[in-house]
Amino acid sequence: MKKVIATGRTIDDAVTSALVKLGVTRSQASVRVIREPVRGWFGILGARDAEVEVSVQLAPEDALREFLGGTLRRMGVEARIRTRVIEEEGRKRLHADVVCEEEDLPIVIGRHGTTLESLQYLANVVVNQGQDRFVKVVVDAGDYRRRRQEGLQRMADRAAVRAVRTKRPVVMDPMPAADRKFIHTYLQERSDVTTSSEGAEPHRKVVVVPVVQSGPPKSVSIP
Amino acid sequence: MTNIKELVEFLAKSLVEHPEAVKVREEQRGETTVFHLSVAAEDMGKVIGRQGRIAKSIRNVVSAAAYRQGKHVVVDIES
Repeated sequence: MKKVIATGRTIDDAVTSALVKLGVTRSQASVRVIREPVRGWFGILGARDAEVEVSVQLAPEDALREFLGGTLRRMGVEARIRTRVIEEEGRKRLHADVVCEEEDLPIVIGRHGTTLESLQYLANVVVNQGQDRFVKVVVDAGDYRRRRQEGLQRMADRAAVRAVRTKRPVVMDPMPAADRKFIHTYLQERSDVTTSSEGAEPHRKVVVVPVVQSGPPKSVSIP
Repeated sequence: MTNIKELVEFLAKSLVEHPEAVKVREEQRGETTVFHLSVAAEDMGKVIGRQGRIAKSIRNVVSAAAYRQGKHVVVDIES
C-alpha cells in the first residue's frame, strides 16, 4: 500500500494533486478525507484547505522494492533490489536480493544476520498489508543465506562428530531462532545424535546429545 | 549523510494506517540520541507488533544505520 497526503481548496483539488504525486488514475486509488474544506468569510477569514489521503494497492513486488529501497537509502546504502517470485506447492514466495557495494554488506546483514532478519520481518509486514493472500518474503544480500547455511551445516557436523566421539552432549554457540531451527532439522537426518535447546534468548543454544546404547549389546537367543 | 530521523519516520509511515499522525522528535541525552516516535492511538499495535517484534525490528534497523555514524540511538515509542 502506498499513501500520499495532499491538500487543496476543494476535496477534488486535493485528490487530483495526490493522484499526480502517485502517478495513478482515480480508479486505481482509494480516497480518505482527513479534513473537509471550510470556505470562510469572503473566502479569506477562517478558510481551511481540504486534506485527503489517497492510497493505491501496490503489487507485492512493487511494495517490496519500494519499502526495501526506501529503507536502505535512508540507512545510507545505495542498493538495487532484485525481486523474484517463486511458486512452490501452490504458495507464492517473494525473494528480494539486495545488490549493493561490498563495503555496505555488513550494515545490511548485521551481526549473525540480525539486520537482515529485521529487514525481512518488516518487509513481510509491509508487503502483506491489505493483501488477501499471505505472501512470504525472503530478503537476502551478498548470498548471505546460502553461505550461512553452509556454515551452520559445518558447525552442526563438527558438534555431532564430537558428541559421538566423546559420548557427551556438546553445547553449540548461541544463535538466533531461525539458525537453531535449521540445525535441529539438519541433524535430524542423523540417527546417532538428538538435539535440544537450552538457555534464554538471546543466548539460547543448541545442544547436541549422542544417542548412547545402554551397555554392551545383549546376546540375543534365537529360538 | 544518513538522516536517522527520516529513517524512523519512513519505517513508521510504511507500517501504519495513519501516516499523517506519525511524529518523530529527536533528543540528545549525553552520548545517546533518543528518537521519540508517536503514532495514532489505533496504530500503536502496528509499530509494536506481537511480543514487540515489529518494535524490535525497527530498533535493529535504526541501530545498524546509526552504528555506521558511530552513534548510539534509542527508539522510544510513546502513546
